[in-house]
Amino acid sequence: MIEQSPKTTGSRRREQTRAADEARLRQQAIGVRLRQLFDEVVNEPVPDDFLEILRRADDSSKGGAR
Amino acid sequence: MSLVERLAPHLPYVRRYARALTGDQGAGDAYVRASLEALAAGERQLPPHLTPRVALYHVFHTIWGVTGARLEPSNDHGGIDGDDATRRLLRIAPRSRQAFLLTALEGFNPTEAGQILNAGPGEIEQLIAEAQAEIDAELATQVLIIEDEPVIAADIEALVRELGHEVFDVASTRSEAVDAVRTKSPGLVLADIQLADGSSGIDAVKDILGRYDVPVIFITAFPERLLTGERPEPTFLITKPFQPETVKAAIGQALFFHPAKAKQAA
Repeated sequence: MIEQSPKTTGSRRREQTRAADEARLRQQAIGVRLRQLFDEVVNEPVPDDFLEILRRADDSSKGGAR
Repeated sequence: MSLVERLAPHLPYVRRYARALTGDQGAGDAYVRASLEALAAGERQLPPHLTPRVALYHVFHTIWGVTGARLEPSNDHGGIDGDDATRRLLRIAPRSRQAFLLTALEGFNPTEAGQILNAGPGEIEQLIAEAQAEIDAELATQVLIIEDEPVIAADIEALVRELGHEVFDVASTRSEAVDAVRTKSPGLVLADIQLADGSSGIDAVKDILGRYDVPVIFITAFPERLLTGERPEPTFLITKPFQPETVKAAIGQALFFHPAKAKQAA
């Protein structure tokens, strides 16, 4: 789950990792409920101009071969 | 692949993240829009070594990080017209709030969160730990424990204190529990169901909820009694024997989403 870089081992580092793992578990419990809370945001249509901006960028880059 | 093809599927999620991060959909959308404009204008690029979703969040981060995060009022967010969970999110410092939301809400792993925030794995862990410390401090409260087995009560007490809470009282019967809340309300109730004198933790909780609006977590070897009977709201259920981490996670969840106002039930 966590990528350990080889030079940063040691007990202090392991302790930090364990604390972060436990914190992450508790934060996931909150995250699950946050996802329910923000469900409607994900399900509603994205503002029209968001896609417009991207289309404009795609169109203008077509000439320049992206 | 066009920008539309690469990014459109991820826009609903980056909007959710922006909303959670800023506390306001209008403000969140403004930062998403500014990020897309910067991409369209060529002022920002999607880093080619990142997946489109990670790259989009990264660009958003570079926009919000230089403007939004610095414009935030540093102390109170009373002006934000959100729910209590939103207000609690905003009390977490910007960078640890980002690390928390990217992993817990958006489901990025720590490596991806690091790519988005330009942070190494050590810093991400530290930010997550800092977010937790801030959440714990924000949620710290007085906990009433209703439990008739002394050994289990002691375990629960230790666990509650580890999270930074105070033990309000330990009651082993329904009447002790009712006595304990006679003059003031705890901030959280952890309750067993089958109590020493044959009384019921469910009844004790109903008595308490009749007077106070307080989150409740039942910890019981007899979950069926709660599932079949009328279950008082708002409640959580944990089955004995329990893992301390499970109880800790439930405590955080119960408190984080409980309305801070309206302490007194009618």
